Amino acid sequence: MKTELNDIVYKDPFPARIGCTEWHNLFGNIPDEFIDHYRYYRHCGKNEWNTYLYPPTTFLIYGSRYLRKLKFDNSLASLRLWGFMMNESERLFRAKQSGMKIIANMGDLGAIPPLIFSFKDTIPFYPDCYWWTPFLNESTVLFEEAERLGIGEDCCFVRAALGAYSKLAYFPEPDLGIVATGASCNDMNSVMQSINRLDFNMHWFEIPHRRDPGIYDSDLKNNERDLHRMDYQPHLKTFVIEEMHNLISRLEEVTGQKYEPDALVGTIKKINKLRGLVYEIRDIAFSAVLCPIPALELMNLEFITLSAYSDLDEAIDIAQHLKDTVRERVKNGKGISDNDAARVIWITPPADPILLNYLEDLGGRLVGTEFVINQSLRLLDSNPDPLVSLSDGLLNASLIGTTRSRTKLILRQIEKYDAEGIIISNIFASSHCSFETTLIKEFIRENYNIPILSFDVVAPGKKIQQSQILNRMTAFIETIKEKKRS
Amino acid sequence: MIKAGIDIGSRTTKIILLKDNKTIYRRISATGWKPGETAEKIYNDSFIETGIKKSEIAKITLTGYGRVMINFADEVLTEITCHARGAFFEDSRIRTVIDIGGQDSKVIRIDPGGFVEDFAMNDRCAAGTGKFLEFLAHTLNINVSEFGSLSLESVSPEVISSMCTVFAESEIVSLLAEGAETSDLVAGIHSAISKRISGLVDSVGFEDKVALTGGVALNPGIRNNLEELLNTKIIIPENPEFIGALGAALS
Repeated sequence: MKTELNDIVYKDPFPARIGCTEWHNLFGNIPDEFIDHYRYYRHCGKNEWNTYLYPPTTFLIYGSRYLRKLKFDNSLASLRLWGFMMNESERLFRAKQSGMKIIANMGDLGAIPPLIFSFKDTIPFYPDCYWWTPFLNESTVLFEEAERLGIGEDCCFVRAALGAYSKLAYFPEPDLGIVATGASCNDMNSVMQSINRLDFNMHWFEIPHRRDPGIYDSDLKNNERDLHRMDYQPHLKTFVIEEMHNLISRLEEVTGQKYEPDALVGTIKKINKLRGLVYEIRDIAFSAVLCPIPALELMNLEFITLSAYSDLDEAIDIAQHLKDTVRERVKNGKGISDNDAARVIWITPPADPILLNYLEDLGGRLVGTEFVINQSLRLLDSNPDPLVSLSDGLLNASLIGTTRSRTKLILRQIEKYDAEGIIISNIFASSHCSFETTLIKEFIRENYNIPILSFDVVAPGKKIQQSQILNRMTAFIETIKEKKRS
Repeated sequence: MIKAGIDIGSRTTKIILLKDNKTIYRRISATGWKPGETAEKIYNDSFIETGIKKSEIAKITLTGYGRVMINFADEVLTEITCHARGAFFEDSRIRTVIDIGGQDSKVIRIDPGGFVEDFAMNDRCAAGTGKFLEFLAHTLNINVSEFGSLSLESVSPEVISSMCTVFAESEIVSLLAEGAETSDLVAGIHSAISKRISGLVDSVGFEDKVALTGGVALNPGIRNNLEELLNTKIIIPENPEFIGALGAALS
């Protein structure tokens, strides 16, 4: 892929997954103009601080030591994605310095950020996502802080968000925290209640449980509409809109601005642009003969749909760059997987990112995910009332309904992308994993006779147990390949 | 054509030499702390003991947790594939393989062609493994090889509710203090492991015929318990502890 900028061209090397040191060396080939061009918060102008295109070694030095063990895609677009993602902490502090309002979202998984972005100079972010920090930093500091505040090992890794909130070392004090209650997971709820006790400015947003819709429940497995859509009882939308209005009052109070429906319509258009790009990249990647982009980058890309890593315009630009890269690779018959790679759908995001590297190391490739944020992968409806669109988006969330409805999302992907195996990486001590995994397996087996591997991802630093997971993944890929050969 | 299969387990290392799919040599040795050296020694000893030359070996396949520590293999496979292959070779009716290893336990479902269809392994600790038996045998000051027959003498098996090895030990010490019979304790331990294993069987989907492989297959207490829980007759292949090595040699 050639990336052009004012007549200066950077050409990606042959697609490969490379380590930190190799990226460090390759970075030397990237012209300065590119480093200077890619900036976050472009509306702030060209500042000495808002570049983000750096090799992974940069973030390693600032604490993310685990990066030295990971493998990365070697394209410029992927480097942008990594730099942008890893730079989010810095970005949030800069936003605060620049006078923007910072709104923390927890537990809603992508439903509310469009509303926040519609307020001028107001940005959302997810403290939930700091659950990766202990792994990336190879440190248990955030867990220890959470434990000190009363949330210990019997809660899932999302307790790191409590530690991060308490320390305020990874993000500045949010102007408001929007915390989802009701149909959000129990661990997240206990973490949010503990944060509430720390006296931050919070707003509770109730998400209704999406009950079995009965007559509204069409056969979603073969549904032609869209891959990530769920059905729900229509009256739930009225309840969510009411909750949205309560939230709007609070946002108006915090930002000092009036809610503008037209601004929200504009934001929804942008959000849909981003979601559309991510959907297309995934579709190209999952359908291609050779997978054009590694699983780890695909996960980072999927999570960009939550809150655009707190910069919507730049997120769209990066997603477009990635789509061009992926499409070019497919057009030229290039990729990072083997011809006969085992086609795997991954359920629940792995707390330890190296597990996604293992998938390709062992001869597999990703052809689908259910990372509990499927609702952020589908386009929001273009209803004249944008709050109706947002509410519909929220009610499509995979975790707020039954396990059977969540499994439908997986079944559709198995069918569409010809999956040969399923990996479920349980979040250790997570309330929903403890009961859902068995049911998901059961529901998949009602429809498909494909191998399903499930395991608990253990806390950082427990190398021996992670090597047991590696052994299981090896056997799993071996099984799929043997089955193919037979 | 002679092929070698070496299974480097956490407790023992096994080797099998196959000539035209017939076993011509087998040996087992404690793995110890240097699995690489143990595997190399057991492999070299096979030539001394059989008079076969190294050059006559057409293929060497390694399996077991120590398989990655050796660099003289032609192929490296996981225990899952090898146990399935070995068990199916011994009896092609087998559809479910239970292997209780030293470090982990696995249940493997195999298709009519002998290929692995699905598998499950114990989650994260010694619960349900050979190590659990060994540890508790040590607590009771009994040789683990006598454990199985002792469990058969039980009149009223105790209930051991903890599957954590350390907690189970505390439970056993308490029961001993209350005057529990050793044979009843041993039977309780066997029952606890078997229940755990039958849970794994459920998770991959039970299919008859069932084979028990690995060293623990020689323990009649475990076999009896599993037969009762699964309501089926369990097949114990000849030399069950060599099934992994056999599967490797067959590759």
